[in-house]
Amino acid sequence: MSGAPTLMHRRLKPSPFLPDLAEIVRKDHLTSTETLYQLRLADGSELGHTPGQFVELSVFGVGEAPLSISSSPTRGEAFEVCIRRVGDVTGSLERLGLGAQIGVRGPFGRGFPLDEMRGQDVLIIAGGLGIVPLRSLIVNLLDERGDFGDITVLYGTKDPSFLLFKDEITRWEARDDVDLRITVDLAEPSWKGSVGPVTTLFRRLTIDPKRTVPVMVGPPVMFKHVVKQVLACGIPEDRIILSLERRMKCGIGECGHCQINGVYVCQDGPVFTYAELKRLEEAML
Amino acid sequence: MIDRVIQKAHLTEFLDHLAGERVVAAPVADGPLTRFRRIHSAAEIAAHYLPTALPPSKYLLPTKEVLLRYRYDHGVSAEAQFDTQEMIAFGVRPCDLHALALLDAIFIDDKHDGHYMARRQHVVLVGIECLSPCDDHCFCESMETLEVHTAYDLLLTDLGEAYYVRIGSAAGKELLKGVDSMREAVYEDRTRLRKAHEARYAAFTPRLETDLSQLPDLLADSSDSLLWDVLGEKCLSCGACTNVCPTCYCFDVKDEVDLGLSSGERYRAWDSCQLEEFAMVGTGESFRQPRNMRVKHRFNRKGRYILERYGMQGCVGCGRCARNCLVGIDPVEVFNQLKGQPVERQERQVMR
Repeated sequence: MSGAPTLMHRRLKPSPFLPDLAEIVRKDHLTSTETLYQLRLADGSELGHTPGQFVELSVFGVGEAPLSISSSPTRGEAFEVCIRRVGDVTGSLERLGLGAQIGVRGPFGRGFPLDEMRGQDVLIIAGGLGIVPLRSLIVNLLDERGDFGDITVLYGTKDPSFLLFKDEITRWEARDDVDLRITVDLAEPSWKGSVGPVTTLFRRLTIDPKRTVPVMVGPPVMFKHVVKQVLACGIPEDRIILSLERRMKCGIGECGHCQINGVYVCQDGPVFTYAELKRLEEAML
Repeated sequence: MIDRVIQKAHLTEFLDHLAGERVVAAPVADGPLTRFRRIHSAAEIAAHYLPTALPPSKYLLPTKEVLLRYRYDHGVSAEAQFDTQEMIAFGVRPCDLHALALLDAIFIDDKHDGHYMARRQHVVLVGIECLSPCDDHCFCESMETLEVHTAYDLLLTDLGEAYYVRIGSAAGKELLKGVDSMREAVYEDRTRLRKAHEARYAAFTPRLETDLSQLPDLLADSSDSLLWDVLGEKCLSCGACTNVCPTCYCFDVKDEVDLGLSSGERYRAWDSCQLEEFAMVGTGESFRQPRNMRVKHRFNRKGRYILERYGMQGCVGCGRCARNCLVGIDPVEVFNQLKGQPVERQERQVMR
């Protein structure tokens, strides 16, 4: 089935709040609190997203929540979201089995500027759950590997048990066309890797400021430190890419929840350049 | 379209007839307040009144608006819900018409929001011009919303024994067909209208000390003003201001399950940027928790952000927020104080 007419049909709905139906086709428990869901739209169409975009996912009778898309658009019709149990919607998803129907609206927002990264070195910095939207980007980059220069992934998390996508990470580590470095805040003595914040991974890293696009997603506290680090490398502010988390209730710039000054994260973002954000109070706490 | 003149007695007869046949809402006195309410005769309409407790725009974005109904007993089926109740809103003030024009620009022109559009398409707006200010809180003259050229289907101006009627749409013209006795406005009527317009400016004194075109820059330059801290200390974060504001439209989206547990509805309900949880995310961080920041956000939204995004004033000067604020925060005073004080960078204090 061709994707385009279905996408058109989805956009022409009289109610921007009427979701499409999707089925849970696979559930993988990644950690004690995070689960990866593979979903397929009921009409068989592709979601039609770009890495960095998000969907409003709903459990009927419970509610809706904004979630970033974790799969790459290069990987066919099903798409994936990785969910940490924190609220009503994410908690109730946990109780749904395979084949259960949920609602999906979107994709929404501005994703990562993939085309501007082509031909460039890409430096990905993930903190904690920041790996969830970044996995979409990483897989896309690797699937179109020839289009990009050096690919470096710096991934920091609380402790080894919080590492997500462990199997994939092992495969990425085995490749010689991607430089993957991991650090944890705390670890048992058995942990052989790096310990410390994600910025510690910058040591012994060769960055060509003229051709590197840094892309970072993580908790608010991480941005400040990592931005400082990449600025110190000489990378211009308008080439530093960040994605922000907000609780978008509508996804279409109406409800006001994601507004930062005059900016709507759901439409103008969630992906921004540092140049766009640095004068916005409240953007990074 | 050619303007009309209707004798007041004939308008009363017409409204009586109309209210018997169709749903007509108009300002009705209710204790110390005035509310838009369905009327059955023209006699119910309040003669002199402050702006209604809630602005008519809140009819188009009700406290709770069902967006979807769904069943989930045998698979899931969901259906969008649209309210197509026809209604004539009589006696809408110019400030409120400006607010409706703004909501139209946002919800129709920009968002194509079918729920808003369905309601809006079934409402006929009969506006009435203000020839004297409501009270000390209103500042429509300063916000340049006293004159109105949009949103209305009919616009009435009191000429003493008669109303001057301007027709704003085909729906307005259609509505007038029911009036038995009226005449086309002639040159003398236009002169009387112009004189009424000129005379009103004596009553409406400018209250804003800043030129309106300078207000966005004033707010942008006042980001570090200590006034936000003062207001943050004073504000109770009750959200009364956003509840009564004709241009506030922020909402939450929620689900409610029917008693049978096999069906339910998704609805949107008013929310307020003045409430602490408004900018909180799932993992608990709140991006606008300090009260001074929330207050600053509201005034910037009214005086700057909406204008920058939609090219229309985000505040229409109705004065409802000032009238209802429990601690007396008045937007005119806020803007004037910002104008009056130096805006050099100061050490900010954060209040929680």
